[in-house]
Amino acid sequence: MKYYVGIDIGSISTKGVIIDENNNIVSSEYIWTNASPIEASKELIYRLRRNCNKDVLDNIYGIGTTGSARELIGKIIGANIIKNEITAHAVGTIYKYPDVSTIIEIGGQDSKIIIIRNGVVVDYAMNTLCAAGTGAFLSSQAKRLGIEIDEIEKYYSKSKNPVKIAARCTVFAESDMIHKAQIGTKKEDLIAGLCYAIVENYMNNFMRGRKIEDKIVFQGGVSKNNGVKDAFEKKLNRKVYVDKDSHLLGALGIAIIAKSKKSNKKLTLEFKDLDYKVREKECNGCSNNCEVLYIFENDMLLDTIGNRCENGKE
Amino acid sequence: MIIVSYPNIGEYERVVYNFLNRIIDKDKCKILRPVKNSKETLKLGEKVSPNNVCTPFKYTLGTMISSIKRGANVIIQIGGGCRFGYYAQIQEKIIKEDLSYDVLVINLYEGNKLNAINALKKLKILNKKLSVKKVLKELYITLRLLRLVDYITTYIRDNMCYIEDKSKIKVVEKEFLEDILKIDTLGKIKEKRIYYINKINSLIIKREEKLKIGIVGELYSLMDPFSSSYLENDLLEKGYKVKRYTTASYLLLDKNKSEKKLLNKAKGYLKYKIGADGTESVVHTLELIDEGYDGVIHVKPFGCTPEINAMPILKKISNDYSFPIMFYTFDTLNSDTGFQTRIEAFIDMLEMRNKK
Repeated sequence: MKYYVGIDIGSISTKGVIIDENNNIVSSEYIWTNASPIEASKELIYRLRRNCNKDVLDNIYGIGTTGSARELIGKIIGANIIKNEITAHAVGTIYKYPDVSTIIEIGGQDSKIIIIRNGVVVDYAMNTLCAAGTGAFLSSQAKRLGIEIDEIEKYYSKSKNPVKIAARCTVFAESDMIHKAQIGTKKEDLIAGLCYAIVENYMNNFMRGRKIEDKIVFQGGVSKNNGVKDAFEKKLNRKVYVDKDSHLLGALGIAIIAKSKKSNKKLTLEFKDLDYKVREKECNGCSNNCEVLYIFENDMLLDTIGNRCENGKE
Repeated sequence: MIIVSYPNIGEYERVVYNFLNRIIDKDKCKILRPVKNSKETLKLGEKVSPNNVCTPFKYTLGTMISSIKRGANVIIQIGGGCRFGYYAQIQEKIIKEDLSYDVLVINLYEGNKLNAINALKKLKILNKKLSVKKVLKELYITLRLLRLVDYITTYIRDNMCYIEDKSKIKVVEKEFLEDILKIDTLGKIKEKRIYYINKINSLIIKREEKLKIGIVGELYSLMDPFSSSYLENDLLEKGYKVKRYTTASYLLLDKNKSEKKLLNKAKGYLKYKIGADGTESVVHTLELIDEGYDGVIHVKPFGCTPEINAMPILKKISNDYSFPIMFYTFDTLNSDTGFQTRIEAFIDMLEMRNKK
């Protein structure tokens, strides 16, 4: 049996899976990135290895990375495929839900929509300008209200009269929240309002002008929040599916993509116990002035990211 | 001593240099070629620009300031079409009043039109003996040179995907760019055209089907590689066929002739022009669909009104033809990574659609 690894290094959390030839997950992990993708990946790989037996670890034929730190981690661990998270999420979700038509994805720092028809991605969009309506907004507002992020659901279900909060922009939403709080609105109504605000923001940004068809799958970190899921269902008037592994679908997708490369070369999944450092510098090799990221392994140059020509590889 | 400089757009500054080099009085005047757009020039421009102005304003102002810092005392600027028509005046005010540089800013356009006689009067500062005849003659050669530049660069763009070793064509391109500075007769233009076409043809191995992507949108971002994160170059190097209609010779020489035709082609989507190149974005997208292209990338700088006008229409076209169009807005603070992610996903999507 051959095995394949997929690692999704997001801004907030780092996810990893090992799958077999039949796309069954044999090992999976989910940890916080804590703004340090290198440390997080190290820990993740340690845990993934701990979960499986020697047979799995000796028969790895593909390693893929995705997520915002995919290039950096991919180069450090020697991944044989590095792909963007949009494709990875689409592939992972289409595998789990072959009849999916709409993927709603809300992560820590970004949100996207992927439209699928007959198993093919036909349209996608990703927020470009601000982080309103993402997990970061939700968690910062939860903190302001003095509750933990996983308590949101509890408060949401208690609410009978959700407040209306301007959804367009985080700053306006926040001032709305403050105002509503100061006139004595109950905490649960504020939180329910917040969940609706996220959904409205998302619908304004991504669903306007697009045909939203069933089946709708909701994923990304925020999908774990039942309040937001429920708000989506009420607003869309449709059933919204959340996979029990919804947070892992990007990692699963990149593992499937790694499998589809059909490589015959054995790879080792390991994070060498070495010192990795990253330095950013503007290369002056030519007039392009690329911003190049130099990755050092024990002070030896391992690889570079961002250079457009050989001049950048000093 | 007069040291004259001008703002930059892609490689076209070479053509401007070529023209100026032939009309100035070399004893009294020197040309300072502008540096390429870079993070540094952008920083210079951004610092003193109004915050909400469209991005090309910041780019051009940045190169102008950089030239002044290197000694230029006369700056030539032109503009027209949209807000671009007021660039020169506002930039002059910023340079003279906010930054208190003592320089002369020549604006060759007047009220959105090029008045040849007035322009000539203004150019006389570079050479007192300049005659109408001389300017017209050199201008004619320059326009032919501009045609050559666009012909060769478009030819490279069209055929790069058929060339295995991209570094070879980069060498040819480099040689051509050096030549632009030197060509000074119509005969040489003819000769070089044949020379370079043959040279590029000799590199082509096999013409096979490639993924075809069209690029439409605002002119400055399209023609200046830095201000669109080297989008076009990246696509070409990855081996895709890339088509872009907007070139300097199209804008200066062909655009005005074809306005009625354009609206006719946009029938059903546009009744009247939507400013600057917005109409073109719509029409060219329709043409690309006709030609069987796989997808279109629409680029615009932040705050570009004509292209904002074009966007909802493009979205409608995208829906009507179920044709993939990607929209991207550039500003001064964009990170390359976010852009790369979207481009990569867009291409993955096109490839997936093609396979099915």
